[in-house]
Amino acid sequence: MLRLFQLIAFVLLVPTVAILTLQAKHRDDDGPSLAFAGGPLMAGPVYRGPEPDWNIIAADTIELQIDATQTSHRVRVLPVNGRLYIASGYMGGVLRRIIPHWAILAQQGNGDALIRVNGVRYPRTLVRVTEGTALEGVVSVLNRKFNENVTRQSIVLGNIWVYELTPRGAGR
Amino acid sequence: MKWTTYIFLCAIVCAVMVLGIYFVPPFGNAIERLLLPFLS
Repeated sequence: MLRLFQLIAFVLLVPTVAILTLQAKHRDDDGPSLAFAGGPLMAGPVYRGPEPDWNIIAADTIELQIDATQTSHRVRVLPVNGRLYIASGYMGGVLRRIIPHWAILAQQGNGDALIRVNGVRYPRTLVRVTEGTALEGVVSVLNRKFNENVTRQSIVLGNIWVYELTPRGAGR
Repeated sequence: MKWTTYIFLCAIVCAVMVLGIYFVPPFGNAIERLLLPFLS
């Protein structure tokens, strides 16, 4: 019995220490790692110019800095009709309430953010999308690009959170 | 296993892992990839 308890404690201890160590190691990095948040995005020129056509993004993820928390996160990117959206799933899950997640952190402050795509930083404002015709496109890209089985209803009900990355200052 | 031996072993394993993550980047990356399915 003691040996079993010791084994269980060991199996729990090792991944916990690994997660905490990786979290601490990446906390001040320039950008996020695969799974852990990093510090502010520092490298790369800041883009100033006309709004790019975001349909050309081939990558599945981009780096997102949330200005209010000065943290950066790797997020799934969804270009829809030349506009840029990011999405986060399982928002109804218990873990999302325990571990600070970028989609929840993004609600802090005024929504100012910075993204880095191909080494170039773009100032953006995060606007949460819960309704409207854009959702059809978002659902379609989510299902096609990430092999998901998402419906519009899951976004409306809050299981999936979608943000549009609008140009900084637009619509204010 | 005696508790003292057990705690000593746990401390050694954790110390090696922490040092590996910090100072051997491929090791840290491998651990992160292992954990990725459980974290995303």
